[in-house]
Amino acid sequence: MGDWRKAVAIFEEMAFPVNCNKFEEKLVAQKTICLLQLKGMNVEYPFGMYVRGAYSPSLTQDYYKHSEEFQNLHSGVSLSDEEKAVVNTLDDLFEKSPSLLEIGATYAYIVEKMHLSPVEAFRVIKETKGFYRDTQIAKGISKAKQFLFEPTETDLKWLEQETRPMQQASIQSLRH
Amino acid sequence: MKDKFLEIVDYSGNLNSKLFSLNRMKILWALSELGEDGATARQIKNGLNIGNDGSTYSNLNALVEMGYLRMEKVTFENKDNLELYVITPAGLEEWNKIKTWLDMLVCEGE
Repeated sequence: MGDWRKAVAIFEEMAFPVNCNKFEEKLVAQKTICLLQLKGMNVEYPFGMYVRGAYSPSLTQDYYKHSEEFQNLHSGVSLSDEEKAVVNTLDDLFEKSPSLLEIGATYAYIVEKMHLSPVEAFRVIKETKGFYRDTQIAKGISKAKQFLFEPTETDLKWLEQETRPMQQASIQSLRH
Repeated sequence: MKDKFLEIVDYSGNLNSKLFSLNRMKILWALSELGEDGATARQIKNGLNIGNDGSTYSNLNALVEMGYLRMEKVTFENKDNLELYVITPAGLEEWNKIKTWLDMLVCEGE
């Protein structure tokens, strides 16, 4: 069973009422909750892979059962400041774009939960979401990576070492 | 085999033989899990690896004509009119009959 009140609080934070008669809004709702859960926020909805990509039938049941609350954004609960920050980061990145969320959430689910390599996950996305343009697929995957896979201190140190010669060359070229 | 043979043959009389195509069974299976949310034609075509548009639409239209699916147009990102397919109660009932019959076959073989 998912925490539908928390789900409503998330959409309240995003100022995004979910109308269960609107295809796009349900899609955004599904993929948003999926990505937030993959980021570690516990909304307790079980997700799986379906013909629509990463999807939770339990969440579907809830936005039909509590359609008024999902549409009027009355949850009766509030998110912590940390949770609000995560929700806003996701919202700033994806800007409620159904296509980018569909691509990003499904890619992330395949990598994180089905443990496929990024290359394999990309292949699956190209096959199952082949109706999107390549640029949309690249953008959706890139946003999912940006949201979920924050670079560690080691990654940043490695990146600094890798890019230092290029930065130095660039600075030197400005002197001439 | 002897015990279940007649039962399996009898039960097959309940089934709609027009559904016994790989693509139609894949479509019913996939949509039976999505309830009222359904899936768009392009999700069905790509997600179930059905092949081309012709094959996808001929099977979807046949299922709509049989009353097992319903189709509605939905807007997507302000520009597309996508075709959304949703399983009907009759479709779900028919899919459950097929599953029961397949279960009978599998259990009988064990």
